[in-house]
Amino acid sequence: MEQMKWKRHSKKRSVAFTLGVVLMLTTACAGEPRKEEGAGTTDNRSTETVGQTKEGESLGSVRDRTLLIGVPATADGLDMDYHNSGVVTMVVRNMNDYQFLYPYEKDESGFLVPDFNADLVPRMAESCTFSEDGLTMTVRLKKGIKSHDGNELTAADIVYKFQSAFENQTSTWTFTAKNQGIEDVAQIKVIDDYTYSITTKSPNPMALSNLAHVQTFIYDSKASGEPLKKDPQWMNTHEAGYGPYKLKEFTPGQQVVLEKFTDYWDQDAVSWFDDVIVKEIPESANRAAMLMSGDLDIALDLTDAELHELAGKEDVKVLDYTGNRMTFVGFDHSIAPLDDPKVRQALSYAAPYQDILDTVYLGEASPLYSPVPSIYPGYTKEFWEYGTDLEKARALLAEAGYGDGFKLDMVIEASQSQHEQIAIFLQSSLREIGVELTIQKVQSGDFWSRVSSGTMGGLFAITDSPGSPDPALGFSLYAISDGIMNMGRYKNEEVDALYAEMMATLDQDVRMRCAERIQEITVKEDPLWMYISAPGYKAAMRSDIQAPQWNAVNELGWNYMYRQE
Amino acid sequence: MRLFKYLVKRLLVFIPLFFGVTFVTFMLIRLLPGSPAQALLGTMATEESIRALEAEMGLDRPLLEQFVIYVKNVLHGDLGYSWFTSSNVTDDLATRFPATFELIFLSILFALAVGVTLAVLSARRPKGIAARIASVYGMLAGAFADFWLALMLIFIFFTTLGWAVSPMGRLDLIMSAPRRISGMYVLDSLLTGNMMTLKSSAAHLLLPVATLGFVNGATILKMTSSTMQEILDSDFIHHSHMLGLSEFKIMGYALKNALPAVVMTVGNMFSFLLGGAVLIEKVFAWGGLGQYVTTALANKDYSAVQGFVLVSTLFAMVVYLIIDLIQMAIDPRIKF
Repeated sequence: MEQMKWKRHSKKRSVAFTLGVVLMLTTACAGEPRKEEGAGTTDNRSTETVGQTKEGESLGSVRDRTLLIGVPATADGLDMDYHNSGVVTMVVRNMNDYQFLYPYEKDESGFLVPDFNADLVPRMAESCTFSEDGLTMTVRLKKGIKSHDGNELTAADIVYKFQSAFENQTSTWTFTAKNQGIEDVAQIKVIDDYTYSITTKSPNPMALSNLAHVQTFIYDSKASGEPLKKDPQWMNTHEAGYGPYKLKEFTPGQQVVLEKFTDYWDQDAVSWFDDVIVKEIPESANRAAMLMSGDLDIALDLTDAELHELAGKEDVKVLDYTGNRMTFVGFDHSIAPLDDPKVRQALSYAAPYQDILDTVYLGEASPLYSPVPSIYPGYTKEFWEYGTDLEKARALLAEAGYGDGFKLDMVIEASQSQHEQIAIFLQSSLREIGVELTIQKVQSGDFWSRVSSGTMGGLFAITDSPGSPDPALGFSLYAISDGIMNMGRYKNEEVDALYAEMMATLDQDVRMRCAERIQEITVKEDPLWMYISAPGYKAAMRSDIQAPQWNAVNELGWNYMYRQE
Repeated sequence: MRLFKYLVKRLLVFIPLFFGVTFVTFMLIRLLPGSPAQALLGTMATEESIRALEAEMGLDRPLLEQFVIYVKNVLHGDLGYSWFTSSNVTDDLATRFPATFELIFLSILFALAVGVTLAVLSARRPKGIAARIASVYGMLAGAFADFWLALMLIFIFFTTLGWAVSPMGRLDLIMSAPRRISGMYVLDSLLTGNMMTLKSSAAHLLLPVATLGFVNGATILKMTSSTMQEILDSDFIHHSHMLGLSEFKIMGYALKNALPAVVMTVGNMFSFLLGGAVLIEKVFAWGGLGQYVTTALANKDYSAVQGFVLVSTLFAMVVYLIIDLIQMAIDPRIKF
């Protein structure tokens, strides 16, 4: 008996000892993450949540001067060549600065919005001149503009940006350089430390307005050059900007923390807020609740129902600006019967536009009449003649030889609940004219793979916005044969020719006439899309937050914002 | 000596398990449609830039060669690079593991406290109030989806009553984290004497722990309850009654005999919740492993998914080893 007892105690002791060792090893393995030199590690990137309080500082005073923004998902990386979600765009824009921008004006919505009808205002640039033949643009930069690393802005930074884009074939190269008419970095010449020129083969009417596009920010080549050579992914976790905010801390999937740049070159526009925290809060209901409780200052990407509810609350306001977003149902123009304009017109007459606006958007969106947003110069709704007319839809289908109807697929991104609702409305409406619509929900990665490869296979729903007010930019994205957002493979030779004419002249009257004709074709004669809605840009924020800036890629600017005492 | 041999045997089992799991995960994830390079570069990518990035990612090599390279790196402690978080996967997992572990550990403690207590009380008085509460609780907990319960608790205790803190992560946003020892904020706050972060981290844990604990407590309740019922019907318990032992002591014996089953249930729960708490992590913006791996799957972030699978396999192995050791300690019938 004694021997059995001893054996049991001995067994328990050895088991307890082993358990202790195993638990200690497990805890040790869960300790400090490794910090190595090389790819993926950063100086200003945190591997854990770190707040802003300094010793002795009260939370209250820190909170007042900290802007808290709740978003559904933070950036996975800060390099816009690899990550271009709304949050990345917002953070990048606020960390960087531009050579020219449109002046801001106060809109009735409460936002400060760019005045696209005004002339561009020099910001980091001092002036811009064109040669007589319009082929060479010469830009003179302001002197004494310092980056977050203390280096002065020079013309070499401009060349560097395009050079690295060409070498790495990034989206900057694809999109920005193309719009700038740059095919070879040799077209950019450094004249002196503060002056550079770009010479193109033909006059580029978008040359100046492109410099205000979000992707044309300039970064410090001295601070970023060597690191980028060693690690092309360096910009995902670092920045080398000249803008009003510096990156303080970045934890992908959790938050981005920025602090104001006190040596910002425009001392009249130094941020009132000391810190900005962009926090990932996946549930929109939570973002709304936290806004009401004051735990957030701004809640982005709330549902229309949540915005409706918040609009009536005392300490919260919902700002609603017309903006430039467009929700459309695209066609895969390469497959029958969508290759027939009559069929596309028929489907356009069958769409239940008002039901969608009333039910999906709760009346908070406007109709969409054109591939040019209504706030941009050159917009016209003259050619919109659709409304829900099932008789006309049937007649057009019969004319096209599809009187008996046909089957059609529609692909939507799984995370876009509004697109799903639109698809369901379309499905029941198209059934009335004999078109059987099958809805396919696909994951985001798969959806955008199909977009990139242009294999949509039927209808598809997208919400997008052209980031520059020149209508030619929108056409270059959506309507020309090789448009990078022409995932439906739309091809109309007249549209291509008109676009080429728009891009070959500086005469604004000619350009606007071309824009008008393109809209006539893409809306009425050879429909590019089903034009569903202009959802607008809405942001819910605490009532004491003033002067948020809206920018053309639908991201908020922060440096004019302040908290009303 | 026997214990040592037993541990060595368990360790040896891990080696073929590791290779099997790694190989299957490696191949399966590459069957997902689409290219991670394309997902990363977006719609503006050209064919050339996609091919160039795929080459940089090593995706242009034959699958077996990619696998061999991956295994070699893993054996050196390198789980690869996440192109989507721009970080080493090892660092990503090390950052997020304590967040998830702290949450599930405390949730299971809560579930144990609720489940075992109710089970013992209802076993003692099968027709009593505790038994009725246990019956209703068992039904409700089984019916509720964890994320729905989480949203309800947030709505009631945060939005309406204002009692709970905001569901935005593990700590107040403007508060600095405690000095890192384990990465678990409550433990690190205690060890560093940081009362401010202890209060904040504990407050932020309340609702998610209550949610997971409530939902999972029912499983522990049912397992404990049914095992105890069986044991209370056994001969040695009847004999104990006849010997005049106190009810407290008898219940103690019954519970001790029911523990092996409870311990096994808890072990299964630990392994499951490492990734299974993803919805709670999302609702509470927790920044844990579940969120990490679901985002990685959607982005086709191969290294991150593979890294998570490896870590969760290793974690499950450790958990089951601990469970077995506990079983050995509490059950004299089990020998090495």
